[in-house]
Amino acid sequence: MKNLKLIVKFLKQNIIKNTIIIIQISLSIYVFTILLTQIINYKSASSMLSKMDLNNTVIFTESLHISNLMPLSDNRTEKYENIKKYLNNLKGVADVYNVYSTEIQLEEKDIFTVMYDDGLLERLNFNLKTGENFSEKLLNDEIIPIIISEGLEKSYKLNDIYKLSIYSIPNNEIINMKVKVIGILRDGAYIYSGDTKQTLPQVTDLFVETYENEELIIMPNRLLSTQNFRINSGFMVEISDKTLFMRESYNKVIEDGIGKFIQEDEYGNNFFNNFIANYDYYIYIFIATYVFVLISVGGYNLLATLNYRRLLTVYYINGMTWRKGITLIALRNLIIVIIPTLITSILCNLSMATNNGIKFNYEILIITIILYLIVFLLTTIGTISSLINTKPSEVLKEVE
Amino acid sequence: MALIEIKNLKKYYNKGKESEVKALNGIDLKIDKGDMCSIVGVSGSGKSTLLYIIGLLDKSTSGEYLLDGKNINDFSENKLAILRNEHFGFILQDFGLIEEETVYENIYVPILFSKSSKKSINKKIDELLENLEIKELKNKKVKKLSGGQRQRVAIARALINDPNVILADEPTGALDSINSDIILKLLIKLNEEGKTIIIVTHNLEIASKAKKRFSMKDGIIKEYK
Repeated sequence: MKNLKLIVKFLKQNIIKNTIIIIQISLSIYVFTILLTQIINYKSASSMLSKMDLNNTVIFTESLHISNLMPLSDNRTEKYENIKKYLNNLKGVADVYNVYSTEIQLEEKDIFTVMYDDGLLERLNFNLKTGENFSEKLLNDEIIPIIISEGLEKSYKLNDIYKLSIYSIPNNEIINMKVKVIGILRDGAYIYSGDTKQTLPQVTDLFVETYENEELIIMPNRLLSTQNFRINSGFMVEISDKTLFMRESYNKVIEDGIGKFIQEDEYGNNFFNNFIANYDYYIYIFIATYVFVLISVGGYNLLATLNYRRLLTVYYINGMTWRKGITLIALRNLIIVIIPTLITSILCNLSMATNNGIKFNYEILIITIILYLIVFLLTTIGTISSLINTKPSEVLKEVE
Repeated sequence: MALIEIKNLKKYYNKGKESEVKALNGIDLKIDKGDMCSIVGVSGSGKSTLLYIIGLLDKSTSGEYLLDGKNINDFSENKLAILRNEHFGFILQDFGLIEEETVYENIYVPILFSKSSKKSINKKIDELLENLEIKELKNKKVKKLSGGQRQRVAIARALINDPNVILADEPTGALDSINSDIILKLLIKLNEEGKTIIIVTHNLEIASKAKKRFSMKDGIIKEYK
């Protein structure tokens, strides 16, 4: 009871500063969590991107309505081939691949599916729970290899063969194919979308993290012949050693023509695009911001904690041990700093998980809490050691 | 047996370094129960350092300090804190009060660290406030009090645990002459009631009121009449 009274008295001191710290911590954790998420996403994405070795490669999604761009023929397959041919002829471009997403029917069940051209699929190394990734041998097999997400594991078994049904628009008919499950994608694994929905695209936009129990199929693109195209957005071009990401409205594309906005020179002199292209800078900016936030919150808390020097000295003169002083500062930091850190971190992660459909990120939560714990442990030690090394009379003479 | 006995006590700061300071350089001192002592000296003579070591707020570099015949070097930090709480009351030049708290809350501070019974503590606080003629200030915040009132609150706090020894470090240093007289009379009254009082001051007039008078210079103490 007496200890509780002491803690309450202790907390009542500097109440305004403590409230400001709680608000500051909550805001900083929010920023911190977003930044940390960006760093982790970025690291995963750039690691995958570098493994893909996309130099001199163009990857496009169904971002351009083929009939709008090239009104030469009603045959969409032909238009698609024309785009590929056109891109292939551009300076520095070696390979052109397509990423396509749609819903397909696997054993009577509609499931979201991402399809990649074979050449691209061979380069993608998905994080699998079990099974194997796509290889040239598997892709050449008559039975189409597919990778399914963990969420589908209960319904479909590894190495089993299933019936896949596609509705073909022009022929108004169902086409049946045989597929074999070659791997199970781990929850939280990144899949390459080749797509960006941002006005100012980032490398992380190109990858999507799968969430818990998500139902998803990854397979080679065998559906071109069905002419079941759909409009998405986004466009990515990899030219020489620079990666450029861009998003153009359909009108702009139609107005300028497809060749216009992927000319190397046009973007080569553009600082912002170069900056984005040189995406390694991102991680440094994130880390610098991250450290700055941590230091500023920690520093303000240290100043606020030092305000307790006088109070602790008065307590010491009147019979407190320094051990108890350390306990009081630690409890104060626990209540003012650690509990808000914990609550805000959980809320932030929950909110991000809810908004983005991704799983709760324990990794970020633990990193955040450990870092803040270290900062506030140092604050506690700093305050107490500064007290022990100063005469009580000197502390009392200090201007508050 | 002396209440406080100090033998060849030394306190060095930055020992062994170029900037070494010999704050106390071989102090021998005996204070009996019920004594009223004064220690005078200029700033930096070591008088406050000695007071803080006597009050168990600081430790000596070497030498012996016997409190009631027991060597305090043998005591743990916990035991020293209990002794500080129960045997010593501190009155400081800067009052050492918590500005944002009330008079009552300030007087209650030693109780927070005391192991003794808390029964009738409110009654005791009321008695002290009445004796010190500040009863009407009980629920006022310290920051709203005058210097003289603050020092009386500090005295009340020093007395709440009924200590044997009152240590006063320049108790009138921040007060005008009228309030200085009041505080001095209070200290004399406390001594008459049986408390041992040790006053550190640079004011010779205040020092002259003590029965035992010491002067300090360069870390060395001498008794004078």
